[in-house]
Amino acid sequence: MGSNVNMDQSLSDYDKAIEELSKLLDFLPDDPAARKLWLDGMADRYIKL
Amino acid sequence: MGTSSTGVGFHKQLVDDAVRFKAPARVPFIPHFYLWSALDQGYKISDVCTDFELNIKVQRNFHEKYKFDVFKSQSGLLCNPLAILEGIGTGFNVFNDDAESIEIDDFQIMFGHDYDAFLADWRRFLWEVMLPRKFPEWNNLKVSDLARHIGTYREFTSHLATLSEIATKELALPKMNAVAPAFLPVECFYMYWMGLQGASKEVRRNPGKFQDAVALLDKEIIDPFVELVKQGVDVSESAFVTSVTFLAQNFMNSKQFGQYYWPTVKKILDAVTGQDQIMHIFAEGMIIRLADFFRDVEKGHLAIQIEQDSPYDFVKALPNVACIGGVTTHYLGHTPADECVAYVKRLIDDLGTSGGFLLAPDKMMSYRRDAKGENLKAVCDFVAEYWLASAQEV
Repeated sequence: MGSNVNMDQSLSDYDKAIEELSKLLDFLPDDPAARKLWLDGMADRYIKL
Repeated sequence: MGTSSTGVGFHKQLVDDAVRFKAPARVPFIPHFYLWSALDQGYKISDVCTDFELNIKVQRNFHEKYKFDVFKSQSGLLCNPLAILEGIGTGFNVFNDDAESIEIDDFQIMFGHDYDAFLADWRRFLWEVMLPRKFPEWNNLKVSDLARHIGTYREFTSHLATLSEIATKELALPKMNAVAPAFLPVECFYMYWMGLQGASKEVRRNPGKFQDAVALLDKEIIDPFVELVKQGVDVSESAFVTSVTFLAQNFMNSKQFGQYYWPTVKKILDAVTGQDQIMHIFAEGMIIRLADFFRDVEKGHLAIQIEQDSPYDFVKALPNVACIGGVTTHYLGHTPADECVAYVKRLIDDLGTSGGFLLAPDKMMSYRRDAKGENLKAVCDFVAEYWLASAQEV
């Protein structure tokens, strides 16, 4: 898990929140597009539940 | 035909033959059971919906007791949503153990004045507008508040993978489909963003904008999916290459179905038939009134799972499309077991001996009284042993 993550970043800004959250996805390939897609999937889940 | 016929390949062949209008060895039985399976095993809905391990146990027990021909995951409804949402809000699902049901508010988090923002960047709109409307605290949350959710969501995706392994390796059943879009674009507006009232009003008040929004999702979600199907998908462990659900067609007229559904459906169907694969559509409510759209679908590539339509009417209306359904809650829930079996035998003899018909319940089985366990067991045992003489001549 990356140590340079800004845990205080607000979720209100999509780009910045996704950028920080994607640093936590160390189980995924280091591909920004793939990480963004994974987080979008999680956001979809929030909407669907 | 012997009773030793088992395994993923055997069950897959049953479905394949039936959908392609070849006489199957016996008519396959497709499950359509959700909360009922938890109640049948004596569990409370709130427990099954908040515990991944119990959730898997319920699904495994269900398929071990009742012999169906495909594994149909129930995780869309039984998926531990509380853990995924923990700390950001309650969502729209309310578990009611007294009523033995999950209640969902009719909500709206996208409105008629939102189309331009949605069309400009729908993912950003989801994150910055719809999520705060659903979860009032969203904009006060920080990355740290979501960090643990990454682990929980990963646990959910692992849960789905575990179920897939159980289906093919332990239960030796094919999965329902190899790949699938979560929902058709039009359904996202109905199911997740506008609700029943909102979506039914929008297709009438803002048909052009609504169509633009559907078309955007079609391009972003369905086009890559269609390309995947065109490239060829491994279907060795799946009954169908793909499966989609129709829900919102119930409040649309034929013209609206042609605008909001058919372009997407036609695109997927063309890719499926082009690859000589078979696909499944679950049409909640009624579908025969929209039969004209499906008359030119190449025979042997599509099966539609019906609810309120009569299977006898369906096979007359669409002789080119396999019918899935017919097993009513009237019989499963309210008659003696021998009458259930006699009814299912009649369905098979009337509709299934030459292919083109598969058995399934006529609704999503959710309530305790939808079926008696002994009735379902009797029907499953009968279907599993009712070999068709016509198949041996093929």
